[in-house]
Amino acid sequence: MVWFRLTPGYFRAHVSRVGFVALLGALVAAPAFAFEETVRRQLVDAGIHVPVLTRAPALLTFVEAQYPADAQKRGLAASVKLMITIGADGLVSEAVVTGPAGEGFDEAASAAVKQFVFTPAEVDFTPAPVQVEYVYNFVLKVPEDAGVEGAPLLSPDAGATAKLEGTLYARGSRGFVPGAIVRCDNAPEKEAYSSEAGHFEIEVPAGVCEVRIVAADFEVFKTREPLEANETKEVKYYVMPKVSGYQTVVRDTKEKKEVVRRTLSRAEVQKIPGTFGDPIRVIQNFPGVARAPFGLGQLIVRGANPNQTLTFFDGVEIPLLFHLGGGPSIVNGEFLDRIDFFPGGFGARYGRAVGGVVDVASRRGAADTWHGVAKVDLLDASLFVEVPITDTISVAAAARRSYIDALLPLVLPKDPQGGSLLVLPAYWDYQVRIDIGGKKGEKLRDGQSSYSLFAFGSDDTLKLVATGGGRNRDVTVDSQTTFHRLIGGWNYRTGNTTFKLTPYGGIDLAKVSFGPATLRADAYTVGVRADLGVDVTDYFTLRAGIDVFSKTLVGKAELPILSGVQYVSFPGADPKVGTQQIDALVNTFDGALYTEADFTFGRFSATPGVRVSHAYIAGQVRDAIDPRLYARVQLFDSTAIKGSVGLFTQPPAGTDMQPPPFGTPSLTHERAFQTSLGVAQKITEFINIDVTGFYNRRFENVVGVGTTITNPDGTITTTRSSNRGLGRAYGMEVMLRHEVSKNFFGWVAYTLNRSEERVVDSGVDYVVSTFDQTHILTIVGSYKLPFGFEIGARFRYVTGRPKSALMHDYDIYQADSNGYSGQFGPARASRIKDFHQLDIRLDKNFLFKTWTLTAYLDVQNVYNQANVEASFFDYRFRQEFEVPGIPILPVIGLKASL
Amino acid sequence: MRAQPLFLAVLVLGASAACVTGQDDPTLVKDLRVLGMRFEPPEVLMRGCDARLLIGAAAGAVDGGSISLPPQFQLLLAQYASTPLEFTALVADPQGNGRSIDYRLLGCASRGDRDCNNEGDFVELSKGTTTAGELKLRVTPGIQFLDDGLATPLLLEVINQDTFKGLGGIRVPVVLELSASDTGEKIYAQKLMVYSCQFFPTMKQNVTPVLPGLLFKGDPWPADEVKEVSGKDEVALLPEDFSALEEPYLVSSLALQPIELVESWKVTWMTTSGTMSPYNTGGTDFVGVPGRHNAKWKPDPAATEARDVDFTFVVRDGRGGNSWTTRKVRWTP
Repeated sequence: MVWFRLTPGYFRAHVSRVGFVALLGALVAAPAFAFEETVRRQLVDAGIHVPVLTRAPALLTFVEAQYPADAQKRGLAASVKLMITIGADGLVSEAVVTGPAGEGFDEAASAAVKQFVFTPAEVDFTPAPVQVEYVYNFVLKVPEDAGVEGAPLLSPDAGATAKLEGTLYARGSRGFVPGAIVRCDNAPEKEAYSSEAGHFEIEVPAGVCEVRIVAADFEVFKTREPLEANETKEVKYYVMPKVSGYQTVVRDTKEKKEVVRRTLSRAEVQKIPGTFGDPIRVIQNFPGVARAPFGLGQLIVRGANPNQTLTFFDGVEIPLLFHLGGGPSIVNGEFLDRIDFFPGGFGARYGRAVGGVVDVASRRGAADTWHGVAKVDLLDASLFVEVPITDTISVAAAARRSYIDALLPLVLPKDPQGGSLLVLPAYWDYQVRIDIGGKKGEKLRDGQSSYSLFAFGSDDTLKLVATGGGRNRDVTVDSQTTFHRLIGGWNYRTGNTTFKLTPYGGIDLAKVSFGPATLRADAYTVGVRADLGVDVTDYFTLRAGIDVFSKTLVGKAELPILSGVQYVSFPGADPKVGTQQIDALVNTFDGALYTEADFTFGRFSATPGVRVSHAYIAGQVRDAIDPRLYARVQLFDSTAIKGSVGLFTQPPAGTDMQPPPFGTPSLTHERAFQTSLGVAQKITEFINIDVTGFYNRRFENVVGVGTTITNPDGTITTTRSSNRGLGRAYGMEVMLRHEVSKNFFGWVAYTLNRSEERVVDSGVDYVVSTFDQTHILTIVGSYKLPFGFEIGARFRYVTGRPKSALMHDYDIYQADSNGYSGQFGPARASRIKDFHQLDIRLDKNFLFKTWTLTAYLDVQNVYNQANVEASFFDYRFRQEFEVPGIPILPVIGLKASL
Repeated sequence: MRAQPLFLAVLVLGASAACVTGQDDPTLVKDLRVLGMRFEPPEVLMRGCDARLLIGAAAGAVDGGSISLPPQFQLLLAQYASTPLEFTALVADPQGNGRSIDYRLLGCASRGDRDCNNEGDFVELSKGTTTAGELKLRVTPGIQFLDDGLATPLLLEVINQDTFKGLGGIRVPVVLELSASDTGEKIYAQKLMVYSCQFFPTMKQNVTPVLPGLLFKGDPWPADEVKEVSGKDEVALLPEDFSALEEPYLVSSLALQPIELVESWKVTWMTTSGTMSPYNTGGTDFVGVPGRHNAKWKPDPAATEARDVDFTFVVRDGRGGNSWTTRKVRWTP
C-alpha cells in the first residue's frame, strides 16, 4: 500500500450562508507538490520505480457542517484539522481528527467531511486510495449591519461595482498563498479563491470593502479597501502564517530498496545544533557513524576508513569534502534538497566504495517566484537565489566566501619572535543549476524530456608565513586547491521506461609549496552515468546502467631527494641535499555496468543485482564483479524485516600505483563483504524505529606497509603500501526517529559497534581499529516555539577511542636521533575517556513583509565538559597528557530569507 | 588532495597540545640521564667493499637460507671489523651525589631491540660500575659472535636483520644499560656504530663533529670561563659558525647511484637550572632548508639563591658522529 499524504493549504472546507463559513481549498496545488516529490525521488533513484500520484482528488460534493449552537451563541470560531482517507471510489472511508478544537467543532467537522465526495485520486494513472490532511474552518459570519466605524459600507443596491484584484503572499517568505478565500464581509455572496500564484480577482459593489482572507495555516487577514465605482484596484496582501513550520510535507511510505537508507531534509540539516548547517557533519549524527576527533568532518562508517565512504553531489563524486581540510563542507547547505546516507549494503548503482555512500541531491529552482537566502556568520557569508525564468525553466544559484583571512590579522597577536607572522586561510564555493522542461511539480509525460545543467566548484587557499626575528626556522606555506564540476542531465520517459543520462566533466587544480619545495597536481575528469528503469510488470522491475569516467592527472613536483625513500636514511639525520624535479602523468579509466531487478511476491520483495567494473589505472588493469542482494518481508502493514548481503570494491588511487619508490604498481581493489539484517517498525504517523545488525568484513585493504626487495643486481626496490589489510566490523544500529512534522523533528541514534583490523603476515592478531567506539548515542531534537522562536539540542555520548596504555619501566634513549622510545601495553587495549557533550541552538525568526530574518545562537559543549580528543607524552614517555577538546563555544549568525 | 585534512589535524592537535602545561622539560637535566654517546672513530669505512658483494652476502638469508660469505668479503671484514673503537657516554646524575652506577655495554643484532635483550641476539661488550661524567670504554663490536648456538658473527646478523641489507652501512646497535641500585632507576641508551662499504671511490670516512666555540651574549665563551649572570633575564647563546666544518659526503641510492649530501649539524642545548629554548637547533627541515642556531637560557624563575649552573651542548652530524662540550655559569638572583 502506498499512501500519498497531502498537506493543509491545498484542501480547505467551505461553509457559508448560515452565519459561518468553511473554506474549500484549491485542489489544484495538491498534485504540484506530489509530483515534485515523486520526480525528485525518481531522479535520485535513477529508474527505481516509485508510485506516482498522477491525479489529485478533487472535491465534488461539499457538505456543510452544523455549526455547534453553543459555540455560535458564544461567538466562537475554530479550525479542525482532520486526516481523511479517500478511497479509490472517491468516497471518504475514514476521517480522524488530528487537530481538535473542542466545543463540538470536532464532531461537526468529522460528520460533514465523511459525507464529502471526491474525484478518485490516481496513482500511476490508476484510481487509488490516498490520505489527505484537511482543515475545516468554522468562521462566524460578520453581521451585515456591523459596519466599520467611520466608513461607508458597500451598497449593493446602488448598482455600481468595482474590482479588487491582487496577490496574496505568505508574510516573510515571498511565497504565494494559494487556495485562500477572499471576500468582502459586507458582500458575502461575492468571493474568490486565490490561484496557485496567489492571485485573486473579485468584483464587488463600490464602496468600502471589508476584506477578509481566510486560508488554512494562516491567520485571518482583515483590512478595508475603499473602492470607487468602476475602479479596478490592485493590491498585495501579506498574510501571516499561523506557525512557520519546518516545511510542507508530502510524505509517502515508499518501501526502501536498501536495507538502510537514511534521508535528511534541508530543514533537518540546517537546524541541528553543533553542525552549523553542514550537511556532511549532520550525517555524523546517524547510527553507524563514529565520532570524528576535534569536530572534524570525516565519515567513519561501520569501522571503515574515512576515505572508504564516498560522497556524491547529484550522483557525481565530490573530490573534496571540506574547506581547509576540516572546515565547512563544500556542499552549501542552502543548495541541497536532500541527503541520502547509506551506511552499507547500497545498491549496484553505487560503486567504488567499501564503506558507505552519501548522495546529496541539489535543489531545483523555485517554480512560483524568486526567493533568496543570505547568511552571515563568523567564518563566511553566503547567498542563495532561485528564480523561475518561465513555467518550465528555473535557475538556482549560490555562492559563499570566507573572510577569515581578513579577520585573522585583526585578532592574531604581534609576532612574539619579532619577525613576520601571517596566516591567511580563505575559501569560496559556488553552485548554479538550470532546469529546463519538466515543470516543477509535474511528472514527465510519455515521450517528454527534461534537462538540467549543474555547475559547482570550490577553492581553498592557505598562506602561512612565519619568518625572521628570533626564529631558527622560517616557515612559508602556500597552498591552493580548486575544483570545478559541470554535470548535465537528461531525463526521458516513455511508457513504463525511464532513462536518465548524466554526463559530467571536471577540473581539479592543486598546488602546495613549503618553502622551496613545490607540488602541483592537476586532474581532468570526464564521465557519464546512464540509468535505465523498466517496470516490466507489477511485480518485476528492471534497472540497468553504466558508470564510466576517465581521469588524467598531471603532476609536477620540485622536492629534495627524499631520505628514507630514495636512499637509506640515518636516524636523526637531516642533511643538506639537492633538489629534483618529478613529473608524473597518471591516467585512470574506470567503467562499470550494473543491473538489478525488483521481484515482488506479495509481502516479499527481493532485489538481486550485480556490478561489473573494468579499470585501467596507471597502466594496470583491474577488474571486479560485485554481486549484491537485498530482500524485505513486510510482516505487517507497519512492520518489515529486511536484509542484505553483497560484495563491494574500491579501486586504488592512480597516484598510489606509481612506480617504486613512490608507489606500489601491484595494488588492487580493496574489497568488502557486507551483510545486514534488520527490522523496521512504524509506531505512529511520524515516529518509526529501525534496528539493524551488521557484519562487514573488509579484505585486501590498502595499508601503508610496503615491501623491500633486494634485486639480483644489488639494487633495492621498495614499495609504499600493499593490499595486506584485513578488517571486520560488527554491531547493531538503532534509529528511533520522529520525522519532520510541523513543529518537531528529532531522533535517537544508538550504535553498538566493534571494528577490528590486522595486517596479513604481520604476526599480530586483530586489534580494535583506531576509531572503534563501542557505544555511540546521539539524541537530536528541534522544536518550533511560539513567537518565532525555535530551539534545538543535540546530546552525544561516545565511548573513548582506543589507545595503547603507557607502561613506563625505564627510559629508552636513542643517542643518534636524541629521542626516546615509549613502552606500551597491548595495542589499543586501553581507551581515552568517554565523550559526552550537549549542544544547543536557539533561533529567532523575525517576519517582515517579504522576508524573514533569522538570528541564531549555537552553543557547543553547553556544560563545558572537559572531553579528551587525544593524548601525548613527555619527552621520556614517563607521563601521559590529555589534549582537551573544544570548550564551551557560542557562535552567533544571521540569515535572511526571501 | 587528501593532504590538507592531515595538515589541519596536525595543526589542531599541535595547538591543543601547546595548551597543556606541566610537562617535563628535556633541556633541564635534573636526574639520571644519558646526554650523549659517541664512538671514535664514528665510522669504519671498508675500502674495496662493493655494494653487490655486501648485499649478495645477505640476500641468501632473506627467505630463510643461510648467509653466504664470499672470501673477498670475509677478508674485508677481518681487516676492518677489528678496528678498535673508543666508546664514550656522557652520564648525568645531578641528584646522585657521586653514587655508583652499574653499567653493561651490549652489541645487538636488531635495531628494534631497544633494550637489547632478545635472546641470542646480543653480545655483552663490557660491564662494570661508573659514576656521573664520561664513561670511556675500548670495544670491538665488529668481531663479536652471538650466543645463538651457531656463533653467528654479530655483523652478519646485523646485515641479515637490516631491511636494506647494509646498503646504508652495517649499523651495529650498541646499547648502554645503566642501573642505579639505590633507587631502582634503569636506562637503556642506544647508539649505532657504522661499518660502511666504500661504494664509491670518493667516499670518505666520517669525522667526529666538534663545535668550534660558543658565543655568550655574542661574546666568545671559552671552555674554562665561568660566566657571571644575575637576574632572571634570558641569555642568548650561539655556537660559533661551523658551516665550514660540515662535511660533504656520498651515500648510495637504492638504485646504487651516488647521492651527494652535506652534513647539517644539530645542536642540543641542556642546562642543570632553568630552561633552554629550543631543545635542538639546526639540521634541515623536510624541504631541505637548514635551520639557524639561536638559543636562549632562561634562569629558573623560582630560584632565590645563587648557584652554579652547568651547560651541556651536544652536536650531531646526522650520520653517527657526535660530540659535546660543557660550560659553567655562576648565577645570582
